[in-house]
Amino acid sequence: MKEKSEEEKILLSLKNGNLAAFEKILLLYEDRIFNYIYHLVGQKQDAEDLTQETFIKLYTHIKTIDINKNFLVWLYKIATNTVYDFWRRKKNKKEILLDELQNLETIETETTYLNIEKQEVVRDVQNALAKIKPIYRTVLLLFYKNNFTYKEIAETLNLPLNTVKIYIHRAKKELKEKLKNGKTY
Amino acid sequence: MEKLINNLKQIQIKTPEGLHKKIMSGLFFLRFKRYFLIGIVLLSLNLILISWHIWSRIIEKDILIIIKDMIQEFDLSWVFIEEFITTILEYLPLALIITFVVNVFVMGYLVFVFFKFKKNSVS
Repeated sequence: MKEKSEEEKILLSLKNGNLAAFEKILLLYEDRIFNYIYHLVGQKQDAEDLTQETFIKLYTHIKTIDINKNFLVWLYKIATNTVYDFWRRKKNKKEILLDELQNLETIETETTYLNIEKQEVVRDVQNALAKIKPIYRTVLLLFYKNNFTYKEIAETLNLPLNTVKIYIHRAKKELKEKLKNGKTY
Repeated sequence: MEKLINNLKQIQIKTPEGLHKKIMSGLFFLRFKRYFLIGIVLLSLNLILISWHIWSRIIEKDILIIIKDMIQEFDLSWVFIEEFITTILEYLPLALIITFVVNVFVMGYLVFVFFKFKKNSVS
């Protein structure tokens, strides 16, 4: 509760155009948003650019935010829309697939802190994640990695609650299938 | 399935070191873009006016012919350089030359900073 009111204070300050408040918000959420975007797009450089775009959008639209509502949902909504716009800009779907395949090489260097065996498992999960439908990837990341509730995911993605539940179920199934097909897990 | 979910939760990518700075400079660019542009436009106008003023003096006093004559008698000596500068300053006031040079440098610096921040910004 204390944390919440602290966040509200920062948001109020940010609404008044305070740059220091923006930096506080940035320090609080940049890691989470970068990780979320990185797992969606699978490219470090794209993820960096999209994270920057997300926070710039946050700053330019801060006047419209209702601080009584869930800020995190709002921030993830901006991040998700930014990524979806990015995908739309990349007209050719083949280009996305190609990027995802290239990504298989970069993951290994990113996770050097894990032991080799674990690295392989994590890489397999990441690769399978890159191969499932973008909307399934999005709901899985929001639900399991960001601990969003069904309701929060529905708000973030503008989807009915039941659709979110169905998507999560299908996403898990598809992820499992992709892992089996990869025969590495 | 639980194991799979746990592995999914474990995947944590290290945030690039320069990301924070990149976002802040992108925001800085967004906030001050308008002021930069106004500054560059005003300095450009000023530069046009000063250049026009200098050019009309050059034409009016036939400075180009004087410079041409002096270059023909070019001699790499302190006396020649001193004479050359004194002759130029007779027709073109020092303040005007300084204003012109300062204008060019400040404008160049503003354009440099503008593009430096623009490069770091995706918006």
